[in-house]
Amino acid sequence: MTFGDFDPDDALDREPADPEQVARFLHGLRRREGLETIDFDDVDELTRLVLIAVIGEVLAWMRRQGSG
Amino acid sequence: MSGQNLYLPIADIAADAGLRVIVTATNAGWETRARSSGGFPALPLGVCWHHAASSPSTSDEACVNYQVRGNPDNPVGNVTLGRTGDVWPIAAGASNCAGKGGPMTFTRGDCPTDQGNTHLWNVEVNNSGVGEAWSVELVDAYITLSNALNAYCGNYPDDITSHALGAGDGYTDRKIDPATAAAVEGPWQPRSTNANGTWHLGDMRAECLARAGTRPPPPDPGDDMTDQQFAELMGVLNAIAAAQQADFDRDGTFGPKADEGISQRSAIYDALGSIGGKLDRITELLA
Repeated sequence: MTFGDFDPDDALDREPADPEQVARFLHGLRRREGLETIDFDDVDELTRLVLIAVIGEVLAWMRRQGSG
Repeated sequence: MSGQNLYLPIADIAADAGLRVIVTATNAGWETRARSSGGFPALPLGVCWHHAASSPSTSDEACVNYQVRGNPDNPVGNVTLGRTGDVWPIAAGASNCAGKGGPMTFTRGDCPTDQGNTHLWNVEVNNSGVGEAWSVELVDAYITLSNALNAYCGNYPDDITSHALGAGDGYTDRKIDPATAAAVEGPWQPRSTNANGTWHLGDMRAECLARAGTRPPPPDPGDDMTDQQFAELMGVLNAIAAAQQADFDRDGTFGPKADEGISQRSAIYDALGSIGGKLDRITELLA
């Protein structure tokens, strides 16, 4: 099958990253590597919140590095 | 993430419009899916129409699978129409589908340059775009879905754009979709605006408007006050502001009278804030 007309400019992204979406993405990568067994939505709420908070701090640090 | 970080109920919007919604393991999780920037910063200003340029042999589910996980820049688009008009929700938040392009003006505001992904709904269709037939049921579903998405956001039915600069007024010149006009079946026949057969944006807008029936005044989304209630509230706020100004006028900026006035009225502001918070909580519980 083909999906012929997508090009990188369609994904042009100048918005700051959202910690929850980054957390979901990383969790998905870990699942693909066999390091996680459950969906992100099935992770207990406290753990999810901690993950999101940690990633939020990392993103904020990256933004500070970028702006410095 | 910026703005309100909205994840919108695509399935409910489509189902309420009478469309058939499909959710399988392939597109499951659409409710929390978004590009890296997260949900929409505000309700989308309009609908960008695309086609997937998929091969005619591509199943709807294979097309959706590519959008959800096959493309490294997933999710591609917010919602996809299958060949017979089935609605497949892809991402309830902002997607990657119409980045470079614009700016464009819509009824409720402007989509800034290169921000179509966060300011517009992006609808894909499992169609090759190079001559594959657009059945009557597919075109009907496209217009119905577009109108429903716009209505949900308080937009006009003709707050749409194509992904192509068909008649010089689409979102970008990188693409040709939706196309081809000659392959559209049924009574509605859009004109073609270029050699690729891109549908005429004016014809698309006119048809959306015609099928919606009337062009209602766009409501202010999230604002469920009547005009009279709004006028009364503004009257109260204006009175507060006038009293504040009078205090400033009496003894100059930040004099004792002004401080006293601010102190007295801070209770009013606190009370208004408290009422608002309680109403929000009640609304949540009733939902």
